[in-house]
Amino acid sequence: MSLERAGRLPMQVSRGCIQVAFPMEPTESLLRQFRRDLLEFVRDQSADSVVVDLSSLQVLDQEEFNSIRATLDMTKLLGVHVVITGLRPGIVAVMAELEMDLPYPAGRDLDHGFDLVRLHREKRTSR
Amino acid sequence: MSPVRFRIADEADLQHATAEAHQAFLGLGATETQAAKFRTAVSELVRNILKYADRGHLVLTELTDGHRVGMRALVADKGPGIADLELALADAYSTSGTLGLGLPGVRRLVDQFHIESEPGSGTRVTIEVWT
Repeated sequence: MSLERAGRLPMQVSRGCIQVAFPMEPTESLLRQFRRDLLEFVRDQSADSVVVDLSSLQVLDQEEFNSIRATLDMTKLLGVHVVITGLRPGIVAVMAELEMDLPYPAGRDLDHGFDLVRLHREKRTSR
Repeated sequence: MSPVRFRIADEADLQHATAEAHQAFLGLGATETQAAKFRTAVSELVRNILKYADRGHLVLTELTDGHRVGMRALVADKGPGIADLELALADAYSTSGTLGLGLPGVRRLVDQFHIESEPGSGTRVTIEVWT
């Protein structure tokens, strides 16, 4: 199942895990739409995890960071395991300098992100 | 390269101008991390124009001191200005309701930072970064 419409971030779900990739330069309106779409998609698909790929992002300023952080926090409140992947070294350096925290498991790339989802599920079922 | 001026009036201008700033600094030999910091700083300042002043401009200038090269960004508007600069530059302060990652954050990301603002007349911020 996938969600792909003009002016929106494409999302797809496989086995309860939603995958979404950010474009190079997300606009404010795209970020607002992303929030609505992701929260509804999580509910409609009964997803248990989301992998958010940020590898295309070349800049993450305060406004964009606050918007993405709020969306991911809301998603977590729906009981979903959130994983981010692909942050570039330059963005990580800016985040460290400005003490911008994204408190989610982070993978180097999508494969690593899916590994983190699998490990989380295994831990949960072995409890 | 002679100074390059960008008109700032909407989000498309912000994206174009910050991308040009990023590319220009990379073109001078900056690392990806240096260029990302510069781009983020320019993005914060240009976004402030859109938030508070509606329109303004950015001027990018290449710098050299004989040993190093760098970039200067002048971001200026004729908006409402800043009544209390000291407060605006204090960490954890912003009138937009978000935490203080605006001007204090910009200052942390660059090598030189200078701001002039006159209530009712506008704001001019100059930042410099070096490779």
